Amino acid sequence: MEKILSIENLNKKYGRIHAVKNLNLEINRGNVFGILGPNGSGKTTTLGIILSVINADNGTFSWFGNPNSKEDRKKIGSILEQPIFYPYLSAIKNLRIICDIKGVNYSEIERVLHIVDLFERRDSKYRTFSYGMKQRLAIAAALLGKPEVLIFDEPTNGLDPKGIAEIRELIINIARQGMTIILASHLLDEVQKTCSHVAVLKNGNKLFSGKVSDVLSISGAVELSSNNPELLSLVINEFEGTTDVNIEKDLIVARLKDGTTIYDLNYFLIGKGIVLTHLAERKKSLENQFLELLTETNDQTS
Amino acid sequence: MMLLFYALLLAVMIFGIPGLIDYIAEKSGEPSKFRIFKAIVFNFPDIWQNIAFVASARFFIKIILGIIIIIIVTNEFHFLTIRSNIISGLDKKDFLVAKTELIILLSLFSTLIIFLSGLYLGFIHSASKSVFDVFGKMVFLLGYFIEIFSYLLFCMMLGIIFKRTGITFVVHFIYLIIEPILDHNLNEKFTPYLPLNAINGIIKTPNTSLIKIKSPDFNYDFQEFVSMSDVGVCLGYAALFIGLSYLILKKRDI
Repeated sequence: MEKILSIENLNKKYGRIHAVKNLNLEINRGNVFGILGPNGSGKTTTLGIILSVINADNGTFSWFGNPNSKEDRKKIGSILEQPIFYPYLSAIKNLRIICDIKGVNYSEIERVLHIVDLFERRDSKYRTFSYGMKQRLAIAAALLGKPEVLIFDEPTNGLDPKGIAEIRELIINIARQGMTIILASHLLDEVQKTCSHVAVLKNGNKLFSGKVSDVLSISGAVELSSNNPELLSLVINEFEGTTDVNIEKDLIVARLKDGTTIYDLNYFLIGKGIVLTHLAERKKSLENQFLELLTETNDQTS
Repeated sequence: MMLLFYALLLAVMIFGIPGLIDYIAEKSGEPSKFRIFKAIVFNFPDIWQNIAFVASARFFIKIILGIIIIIIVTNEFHFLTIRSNIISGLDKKDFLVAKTELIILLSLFSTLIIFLSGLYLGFIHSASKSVFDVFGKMVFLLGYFIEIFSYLLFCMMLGIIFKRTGITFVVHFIYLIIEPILDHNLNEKFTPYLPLNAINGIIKTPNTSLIKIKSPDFNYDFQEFVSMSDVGVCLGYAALFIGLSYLILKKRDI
């Protein structure tokens, strides 16, 4: 797969605080990549570095396999924590400035304003906009020139539930068109609903990165083995309560659906005449880490 | 808005001066002396030096242009637009180039106003209107342009260093006051090279000939032409201001 972004050994210190520690990351074309972590875990710093507004202490990153250049930044649309525009200029003039920087034709402005439903207000000064409208204008600006990558930093921060739902829907729609998306969020739920891949950050450390389905599946896994593993693997596929069955060496690892318990599985197997030699629930270590993360996040926000 | 205000104020001042001189002349009881003064001040080609000197005085009207630049630069930091512009694909270098272009435009605009008002006042009041006299000493306009350009770069650098509009204003005005104090206390060899002295050094106190009238023996080396070394020092500072601005921008997280 084609690499969109690769980050190697990135470090950034603010005084004594180590905001990003030896971060390595790879994002491929078509990924919807979530960067998950509580506030202060280094998400925004990392995005700032890869967008050239923050200088890294050391480490490198490259977009599209090229060394850092402004030409590559022009192919990236970004929606930051808060919308940033010249308050004394109209929506259209603000977008024109971005068109000028990116070398995009002004005719694009009408298209993106229609997408975010701000065409009627195109001549209003930015400072007269409500917060939701400002956020939508930021999305319009990010979509100018059909970028290859979209970056969202806490896109649903400060929005009402309707706004949150709209933004998530928009992200999913954009992702369906095959665009690569990088989404930073402190909400597990948000990442789970929108992303295909995820990296988990905490205090500048990367705890995990991989497919969302590998990490965030709600049901736990069960390890099984018996004296007749061939028979066991055949029979277990008939059981309706499992979603995923893998064979790892002499163990069979099955994922259980929501609401299915180990009791149900064992009962079923006994009914089929199979006696297990090993039955254990896998500790969901990553999920535990998530829970830790989330409780910390909740402590901070409450 | 501010720019309009500046143009208006400059125009009022330039066009108001002849009236003011007339007024003083009537009150003083010695109107003839002031008439002569007026005729000399607005005489081609000296008018170019006089008018440029007044417009570029450091505590005077050009501060308005400085304030405009400070506001424009610090707004970029205040509204974080420099951040979003760089994210959109601008370089820090491009940012600096854009602001420098703006400063050149503003300086040109200001010079144009001086040129037009000088032309107007000169044709009304000057005794001599020969082509040679009208265009003689017009090099002071170029000097004025360089002075304003360097001064505005100085303001841009302050804005980039301090980022906040209010703080930058305060620092700017404090420095305006500090430099004359330094000027008094330092060796005369160094004083011309203080930044604002250097910037104001291209157009020196003009020879209005008035002093000559009062005391013909008064012997002082008045400036007749713009000296290249003054221009060199001033442009050197301009380069320094741009260089420092660039270094600071490059090092800083935005």
